[in-house]
Amino acid sequence: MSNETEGDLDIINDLGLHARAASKLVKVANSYDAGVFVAHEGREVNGKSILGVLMLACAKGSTIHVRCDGPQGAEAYKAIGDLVRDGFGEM
Amino acid sequence: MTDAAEVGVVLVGHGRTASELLAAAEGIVGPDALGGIIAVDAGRGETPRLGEELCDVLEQADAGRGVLVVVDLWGASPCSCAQLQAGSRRVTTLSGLNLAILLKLAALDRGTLELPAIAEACADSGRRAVQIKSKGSET
Repeated sequence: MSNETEGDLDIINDLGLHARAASKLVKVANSYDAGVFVAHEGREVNGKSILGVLMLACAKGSTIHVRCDGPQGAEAYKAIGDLVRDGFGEM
Repeated sequence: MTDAAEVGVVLVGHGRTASELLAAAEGIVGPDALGGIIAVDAGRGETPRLGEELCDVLEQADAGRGVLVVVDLWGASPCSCAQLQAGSRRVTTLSGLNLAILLKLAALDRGTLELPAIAEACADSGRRAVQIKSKGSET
């Protein structure tokens, strides 16, 4: 398994990082013993807060930078990457 | 009274806004995270009926650690009615009911946090959700 804990991810689903998508991302983030931070256009928020993630207002076509740390940082980054690449299950 | 008791939450809004907003929040985070939250629809504001309903609901919501009553508009009848029915109960009223407050409530542990901390966290999230962004040319 990859040991990456941070990188850029493209938002590919039509609705972007909307409320339900943000909720899914936060649920995944909260299921790991890791710190999760999501950044967009110079603003970084706590990836374990729906309201924080929504503040980024990411539309389809935008790129987010996800950074994880802690004991399960690599697992968390992988799971979040899978979710985002899957278009939050909306494709 | 056990340690597992949660701080109660009651939403009160004009028309059907309270129950509709709760349903919308459940659509985002799922129903479990908002379990136990009671929505009271004030409808067109028949005060005596609303008072009776709020009295019953506060009784139901109070597990011994107090109740957070979230109303839509400060000073309006759902707000004053809830304060009137609070009686000797430990009730904190927060106005400005919005979806951000409900999403915050879904994320908070109402079993361990105390009522004042929950109220402050919700107020903070509710305020931060109000933003202005303008686009297009200025005239």
